[in-house]
Amino acid sequence: MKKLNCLWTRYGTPQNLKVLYILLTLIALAVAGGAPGGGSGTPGSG
Amino acid sequence: MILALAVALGCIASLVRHRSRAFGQIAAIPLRSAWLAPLALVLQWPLLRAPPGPTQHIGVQQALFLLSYLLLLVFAWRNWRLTGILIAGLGVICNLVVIAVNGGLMPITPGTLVRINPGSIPEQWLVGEHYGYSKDVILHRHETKLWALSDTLVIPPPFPKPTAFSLGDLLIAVGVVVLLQGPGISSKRAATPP
Repeated sequence: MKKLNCLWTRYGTPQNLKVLYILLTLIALAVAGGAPGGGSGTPGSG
Repeated sequence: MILALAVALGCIASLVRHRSRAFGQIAAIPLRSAWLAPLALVLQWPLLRAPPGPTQHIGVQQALFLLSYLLLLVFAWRNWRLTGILIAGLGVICNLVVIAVNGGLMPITPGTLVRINPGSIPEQWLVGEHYGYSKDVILHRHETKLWALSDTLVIPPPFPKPTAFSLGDLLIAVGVVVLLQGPGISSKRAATPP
């Protein structure tokens, strides 16, 4: 637990949290905005 | 998955370009109403979990799916001065147009499905049905309106998961990569008052 707190203090800076927020937003935009059809989506996938 | 890879590619490009300043550059991107994108994804979740079957069985999922695109359009509109979002927004519009004119789902042909599902044959794919766990509907090419904007491009094996994607998807991927290069590239237009 102490180690976790130490990591949070070191890496959980406002800038890193904002980067994480922006990356999550862009992943959501990419996944929601795009419509790629992946393989093996139906019984006919072979 | 392919579009999530664009985020990874954008991050790598940013790290190479800006090195230790990369996180600072990404953090400086002035995104507005960012919560709209995750909310749009939540609305699409029921469709992405729907198994293959007639499209009549997924009416509610389809309605939520179309609603999610409205949220994405609002998000793109709120951030259009960022060049990356402008490019990605054009991709969203391309996808939305082809989805809207083809009954509410992204068309994909049996031929394309054979290419991303090696070993299958075109007759296995029931035309008019929802392609399970995706945003796609199976349609013949001659039945597809604006075919060029549908899922026609394919990343073949040995890519770990063969995937079909559209021109709109490609624009979204490019937009995300551009945006992740930071405000230096992506918000020059934002610095200029309207």
